[in-house]
Amino acid sequence: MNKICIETSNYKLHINSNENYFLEIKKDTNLFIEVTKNIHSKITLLIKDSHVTLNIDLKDFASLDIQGLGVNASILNENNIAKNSNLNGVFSIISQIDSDNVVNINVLGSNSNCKFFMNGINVSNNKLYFTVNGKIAKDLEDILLEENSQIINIEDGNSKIIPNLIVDSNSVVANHSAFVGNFDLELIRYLNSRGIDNKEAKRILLTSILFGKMELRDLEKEFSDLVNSIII
Amino acid sequence: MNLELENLSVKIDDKEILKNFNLKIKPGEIHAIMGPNGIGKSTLSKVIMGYPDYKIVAGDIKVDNKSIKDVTITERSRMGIFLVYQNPISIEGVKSSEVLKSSYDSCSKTPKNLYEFITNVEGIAHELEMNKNMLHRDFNVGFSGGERKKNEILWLLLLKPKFIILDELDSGLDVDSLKTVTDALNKYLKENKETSVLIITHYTRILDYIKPKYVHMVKEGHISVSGDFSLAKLIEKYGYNQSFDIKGDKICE
Repeated sequence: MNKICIETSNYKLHINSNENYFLEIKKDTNLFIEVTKNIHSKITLLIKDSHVTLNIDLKDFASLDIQGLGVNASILNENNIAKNSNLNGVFSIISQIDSDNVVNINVLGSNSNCKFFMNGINVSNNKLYFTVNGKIAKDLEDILLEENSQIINIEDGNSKIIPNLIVDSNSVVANHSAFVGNFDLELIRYLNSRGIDNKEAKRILLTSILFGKMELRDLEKEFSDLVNSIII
Repeated sequence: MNLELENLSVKIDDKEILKNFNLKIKPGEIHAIMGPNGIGKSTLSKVIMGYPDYKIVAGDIKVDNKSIKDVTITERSRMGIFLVYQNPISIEGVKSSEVLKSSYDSCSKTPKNLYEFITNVEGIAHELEMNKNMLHRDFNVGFSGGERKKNEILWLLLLKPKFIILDELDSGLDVDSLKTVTDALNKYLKENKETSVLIITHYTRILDYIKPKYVHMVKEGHISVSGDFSLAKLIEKYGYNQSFDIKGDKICE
């Protein structure tokens, strides 16, 4: 895996081989990622205390799995998906500060798939917003587009999800889901019934919500420690 | 563990589920509660476990002659009460081993090291004919009904409870898995003679594997009739709509 620590306000990543990347961002950045034709790549983002504008261009027959953890961060993400390409995205935001996040998914070519998960933990009484816009251009065929978003409020935060699907083609499977609320009490009580107290049960469920859809492998401990440092 | 339900009445959302429910289970005893679906059998398991949604409006629950009405679910678990759920949950993104370790540490009076935990868990997994790799998968995610039940029993054997509630244990288990699981439970009960069991079921199949000393039939929120193992066979033969009377120790049809 290529590890890159981004400390500039503009960064371009042109991916033309099947390689994986870990990008760590600690300041406000405009990040441009282009995945060229026939290339499959995986990117893991760690965004701390900053705002990132992330533009992703997937060329024909390209495939990208992108997963990101934002800690007191926000993201404006624009995705352009060409024909016969795949985008799988998971962004998890844990925030103690106001965080307004927008994901735009623009499907521009036929035979493309996109699955996007946005997970949020609103830690205190701050604002956490997700706007997820899926747009499928005119006269495309065989498109799959899924948007799933959830935000868990730990306290009485102001959380909101705005999911949109704008579909201008017929041969499309598209859906979205959104949930804003507290922890699932059934899950908490199940763990309680095995001697696990509320604090630890919530830590376990936070891990599930933030990382459940990710493949972290070597980064698992680093990411978990980071989340624990905020919650505990 | 001595567990006693005394004239217990329980409501959820203003609906009375249990009415004047009486049951006494002494250390080492195995009891079975039988009844059709929807008459509050699973409610009973959650009331004993301490779920706060179920409001005790009258009566008491006692463990070793002390009321546990105000004891939390977590504390009841740490006291040694273990509920094997009918439909165990799954937790995506969290390894089975992490959940088990967290529970093991929480319930241990003295700190246990990782080596001891792993040795213990792997030994139990072997006994239950479970693949060790399961411990490194997300908790119950993608597990079959039988694998989830085995995971429950693994957890049970890890925590070594003093009072076990088996809520429809056999649902989701094939015959071979049921035998493996009940063999492990019977072995545990043989080694821990003070451990009591409450089996909640609407079929008698499980009772052929774990033999109860007492069988109780629940109707309209309370025990309508109690007897020995032969009551289960009568229920199997005649169904729950039949009335059974007890005269002395003999159950009459």
